[in-house]
Amino acid sequence: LPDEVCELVRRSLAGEESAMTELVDRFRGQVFGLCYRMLGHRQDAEDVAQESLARALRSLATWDSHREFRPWLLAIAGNRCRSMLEARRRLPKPSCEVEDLPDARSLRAEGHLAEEVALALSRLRDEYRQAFVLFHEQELTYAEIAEVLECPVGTVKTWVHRARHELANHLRRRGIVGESSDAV
Amino acid sequence: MRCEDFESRLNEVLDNRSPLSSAPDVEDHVRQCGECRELARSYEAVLLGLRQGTPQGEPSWPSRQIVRQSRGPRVLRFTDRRPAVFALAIAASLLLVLGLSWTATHHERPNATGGAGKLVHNPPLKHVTPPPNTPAAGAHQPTVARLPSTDAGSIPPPSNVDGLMLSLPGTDWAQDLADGLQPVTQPTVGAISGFLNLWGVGDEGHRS
Repeated sequence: LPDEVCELVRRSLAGEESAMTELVDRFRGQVFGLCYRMLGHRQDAEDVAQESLARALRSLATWDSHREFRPWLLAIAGNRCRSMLEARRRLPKPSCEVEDLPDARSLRAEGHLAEEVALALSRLRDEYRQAFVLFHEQELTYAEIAEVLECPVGTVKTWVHRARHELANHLRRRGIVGESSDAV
Repeated sequence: MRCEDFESRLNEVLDNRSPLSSAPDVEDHVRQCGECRELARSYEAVLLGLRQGTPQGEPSWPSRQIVRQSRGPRVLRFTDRRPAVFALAIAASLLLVLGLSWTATHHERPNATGGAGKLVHNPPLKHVTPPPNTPAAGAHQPTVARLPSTDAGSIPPPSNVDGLMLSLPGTDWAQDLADGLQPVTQPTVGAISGFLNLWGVGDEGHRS
């Protein structure tokens, strides 16, 4: 697989459009998945994923072929997501905060565990969320995540552990655990 | 296993991407401790919810669109433009120096001795003497220029053109002298305007 990616990159750098398209086809789902988890909004995620992939194609020459391609690409996407989150924070907050969430029991009854986890994820610190999603959803190793986030492996582990802890606490506070654990 | 160590043990198992049920020590402890059982269940619920909520479906845009987008015009940052800015500044400085030196060598101002440079000299002014029969006051009197002389009672020689114009308003020879300076200034103006034209300043009207 890495050899195939290297070949695709080489052909893309030579200006072969079909190779670029194939490269995008191969990674667009993963990039979009990360953006969606980071931003929690489909349209924003599509925009940022698109922008990240275009940026990656433009910067292909800077990729070190001795390293994995996917962490490099996801690092670009992660940085774009964080920029978007920063921009969002600068915007004035809406007057009515969505604090009155639907009752957890009704969510449970409808099997909305995923929504609860998504909600809890959106409340995590950006670096916790990114590290957690990269580990559990994108299945990157800690070393690869450290490369993406440009920090030590130990720091990444701490962030993932804290993310798990906070997510689990959220579910317990919301009374989700009892029902969902039956399914587990 | 002690309860204080339970959470870190949970993290260890999950770091290896293994299910909690694969760790016998965790299973044993969960059977004995209700609080730790709830903690373990909440961890499992997080991962289950994450799997259930994995975004389904592909992004709506086609991959070709990304390829086209990546080939579009790139917005240059200042850091990208810096070499071009430096080159432009150096070229501008060089042209300025060349323009100024060309102006200085080809169009020198008259110096005190009046001999240097390619000046356009007016022909020397003629001595004009008034006609012998000066008409009476009120009659037509032709305008004549009088050269300054050192005779007592004549107009002292002006030190500059402005002084001359002020002291002798309306005299033709003073006007001629003032006009005589124009050829000196015209090439300078021409050089500057030519230099500006090189940079495309002022020729907007000629562009389509």
